Amino acid sequence: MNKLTNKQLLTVQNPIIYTGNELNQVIKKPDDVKIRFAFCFPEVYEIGMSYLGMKILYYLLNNREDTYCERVFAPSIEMENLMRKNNIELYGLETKDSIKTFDFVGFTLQYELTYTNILNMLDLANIPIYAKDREEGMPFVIAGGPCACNPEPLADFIDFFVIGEGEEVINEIMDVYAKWKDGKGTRKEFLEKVDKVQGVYVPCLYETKYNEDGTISEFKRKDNEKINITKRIIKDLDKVFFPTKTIVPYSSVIHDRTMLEIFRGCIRGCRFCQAGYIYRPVREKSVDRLLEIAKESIDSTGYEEMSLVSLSTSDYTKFHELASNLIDMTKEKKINLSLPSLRIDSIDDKLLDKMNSVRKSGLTLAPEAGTQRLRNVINKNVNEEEIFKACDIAFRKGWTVVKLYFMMGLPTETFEDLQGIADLANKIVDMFFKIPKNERGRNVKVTVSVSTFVPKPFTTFQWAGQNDKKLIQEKIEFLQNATKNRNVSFNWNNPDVSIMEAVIARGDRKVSKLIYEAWKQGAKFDGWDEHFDIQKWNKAFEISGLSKEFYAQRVRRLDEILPWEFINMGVSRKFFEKELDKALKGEVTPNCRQSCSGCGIASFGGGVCFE
Amino acid sequence: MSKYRLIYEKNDEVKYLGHLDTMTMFDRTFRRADIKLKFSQGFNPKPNIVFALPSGSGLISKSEIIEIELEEDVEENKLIERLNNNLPNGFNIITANYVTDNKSLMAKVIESEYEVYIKFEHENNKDELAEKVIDIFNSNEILVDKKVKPDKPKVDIDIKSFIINVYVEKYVDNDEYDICIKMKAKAGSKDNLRPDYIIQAIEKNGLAIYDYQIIRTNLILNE
Repeated sequence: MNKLTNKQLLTVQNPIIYTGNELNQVIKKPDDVKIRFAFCFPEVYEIGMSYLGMKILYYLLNNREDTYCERVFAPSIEMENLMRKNNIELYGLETKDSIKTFDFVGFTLQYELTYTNILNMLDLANIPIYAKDREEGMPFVIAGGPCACNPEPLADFIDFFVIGEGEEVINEIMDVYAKWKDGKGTRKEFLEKVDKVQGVYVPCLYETKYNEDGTISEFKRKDNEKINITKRIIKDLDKVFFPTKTIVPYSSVIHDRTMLEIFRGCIRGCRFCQAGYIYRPVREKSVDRLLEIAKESIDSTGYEEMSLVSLSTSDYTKFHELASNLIDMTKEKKINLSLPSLRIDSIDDKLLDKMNSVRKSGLTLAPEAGTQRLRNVINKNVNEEEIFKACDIAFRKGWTVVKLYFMMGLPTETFEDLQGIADLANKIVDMFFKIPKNERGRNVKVTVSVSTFVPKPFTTFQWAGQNDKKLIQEKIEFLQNATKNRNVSFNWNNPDVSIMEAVIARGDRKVSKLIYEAWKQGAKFDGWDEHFDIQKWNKAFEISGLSKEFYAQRVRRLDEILPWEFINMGVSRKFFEKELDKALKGEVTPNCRQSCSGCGIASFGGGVCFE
Repeated sequence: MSKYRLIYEKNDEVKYLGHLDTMTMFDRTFRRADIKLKFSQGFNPKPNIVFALPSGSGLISKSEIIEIELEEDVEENKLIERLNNNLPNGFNIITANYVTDNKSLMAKVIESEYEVYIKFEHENNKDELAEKVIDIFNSNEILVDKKVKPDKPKVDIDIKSFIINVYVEKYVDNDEYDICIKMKAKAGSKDNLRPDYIIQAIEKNGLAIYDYQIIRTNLILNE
C-alpha cells in the first residue's frame, strides 16, 4: 500500500484527521488477533467521532483478545481525490492497513442520506459493492444502527444486518465467526451459521415478490422456514459495558465532549418519532452508576464539557438528583454541563437555575405543531400555557434566544395549523416585551425551525403520504410571510432533501438500484447542502425506473405488506393501527408512566413496563 | 502569580496539530493531570497559555516554548511528571521553570534553528541538486511569495536577510532524503522566517521536491 507524502498531506484541510494517534486509541499487533474489524462511519471524521455507539462498540470489541477493531471514516472529497490518484485504498485509522484485508467491514446506519457514502467507501476500499460479488477471503460487510430497522434499501450491498442494540449480539457474532474461521468453511456456511443468531438478518436467505402495482406480494425465507427476526435489547443498563477512557480527538469534532447516556427509549409515544418506538422499553441507568461513569470519564479524558444523552432528558426519574450531583462534580473542574432534549413542560425555576449555573446557550423547545389540535394528532402532549410558562421563566432569568422546532406536512395539517406556528412565535415575542425592562434582557430573538415531515417505518404514521414538492414550497412561502417579525427568523430545509429521505426511509429492495445509480452519477455526502445534487438522484430515478411518488407521497394501504414489517421491533402493528385511528380523531395517548397502552414491548421483559 | 515556562517536543505522531487545537489539547491534558490552569475572565473563559512562536501544521519541533499560569504553585519536577503522564503520544515536556517577570514571551523570541530534510523528484544527480541549493543560499537575494490573504495582491519578499547561517548536508546512502538544510534564522514578532519559505525558494528555482520534513531544533529567546 502506498503512503502519502508529508507534502501531499499538507495539501488537504486538517490532515491530522487522517493520521490517528489520538489519546486513548487502541493499539494492538494485527498478527496477534484472529479477527480484524473495521468500524466504518459513513461521514467525515469530524462528524463520525461524535457517535457514542462507535465509542461503545470500539472498546467492547477491543476488549476481546482475539479481535482488533479500527476506525474508518469517509475521507473529504479533496482527500479522496488524492487517495485515488495515488492508489491509496481506504484504511483503518490505527494501523493504516487496507480494510479489504479485514474480516469485517461494519457500517453504522444513522441517516438515509449517508447511504451513497457507504457505496463510495466500499469502492475506495476496493471491496465489491454488491454482496453477491464478494468472494472467499473478502471481508463480510455488515450494518447496524437505527436505520437498520428498515434494511431493505441496502439489502443488495450488505452481507448481514444486526438489528437493535449491539453490546451482546456483537460478541455472539464474533464467537460464531472465530469458530467458523478455525474450521475454514465457505462464506455461505458462515452466513447460514450467523443467521441463527437472534437479531441478525441475512438478506440473501430471503426473497421478495412484487405485485403489478409495485407493492410487495410476498416476502419469505428461501428455505420456507418461519421468519424470526427480533431486535436485541440490553435489559440491565447498569451492568452492560460502557467505556469511560474514550478517544479524545485533536480537532474540531462536533459535540466533542463526555457523553453520559442516562436511559434508552422514551415514554412519550409521539406518533411521528421512530426513535421513541424502536428503542422501547425505557431502561434507565442508576444515579450511582452514572456518577461513577462521569467521574471516570472526566479523569481519563479531561473534556471541558459533559452532556446528558437520551431521547427526553427531563423524563429521567431522578433527574434533579442527577443534575445536582453532576453540577457539583463539574463545577470544580470548570466543566460545562449540557442538558439537551428537555421537554417543555419540565422547564421550571429549579431546572433553569441549574442551567444558569453553567454557561448559558439558547433555549430550545420543540412544540412540533402550531395548534393544539395538531399537537394532539401527533400525540405531542404539550399545551400553549406550558410553552409560554417555560419562555416566561427563561426570559426572567436572562435568556434572550429561543429556538422552536416544528414540522410541516404532518397528517391532517391545514394552513390554519401553519398560521398557529407564526402566532406562537409572535406571542412569545410580545410576551418578552411585556416583561418590565429591568426583569429581562434587552432584546429577544425567536428562531422558528420548520422541517418537512418524513414518514418513518415503525411509527404510527408509517402509512402516511409525504407532501409533494409543490405543496411544501407553498407552505414555505406561507410561513415566510406569516413570520415577518423583526424578532422572528424562520428556517426551513430543502424539500428535495426531505423527499429523498422519505423515499429511502420507507424503501424496498428495489431502492438499492436507485442508490447505486445515484452513486454512479457521483452522488455522495448527500446530507450536506453544498454536495446534495437532486439532478443526480433524478437521473437515478430515470435509469432505475422508480418513482418518488410511489415511495414518498403515496399513502400506504393498511393491507399492504410493508418492506420492514418482517422485523419484530417490539411494538405491534395492531398498536400502530389503533394509534393511527386515534390520531385521525385527534385523541391523545398517555405516556408509559401514566398508564400502559399495551404497545407490545412488555413481552421483552424489563424496563418501564415493570416499574 | 504561579507562572511557568515549559519547553516541550512535538514529534512526528502529532505534527499536523494546528495552533488552536494545541491549546485545546493542553487544556484537556492539564485537566487530566489535575493541575488547575488559570482561566481568563468573561463569558467565554480561555486557559492562560501563551505560545512563544506557534508552529505550523506539519512541523516537528524539539523546542516549543509556552508560558502557563496556574491557580497555585506546583513543584517543577512534579509538573513535568504529571503532564508527561497525561499528554498524548508525541508530546514530551523537557523542562519547566518558574517565571517571575511580566514581559511578553512572544516579544523575547529572536532566532530559531531548523533542519529541512528534502527528497527531490528527479534523483539523477543528487550532488548537482545539492550544489544548486547551495547556490540559492549564496545568491544576493532569495525571493518568495509572501503569504497574504486570498483577496490581497501578491507580494514578493526577500528572505536572504532573515537567514543568519546555513549549511547543506548531502546524504549518499539515504533512501528517505537527499539533503538536509541546517540553518539559523531570525524569528519572532519583528522579523520572522517562515520555514516553508525555504521550500518555496527551492521550488521557485526549478528544483522539484518530492517530499520534505521541517524540524525546528531550537527556539532562541532574548531575556
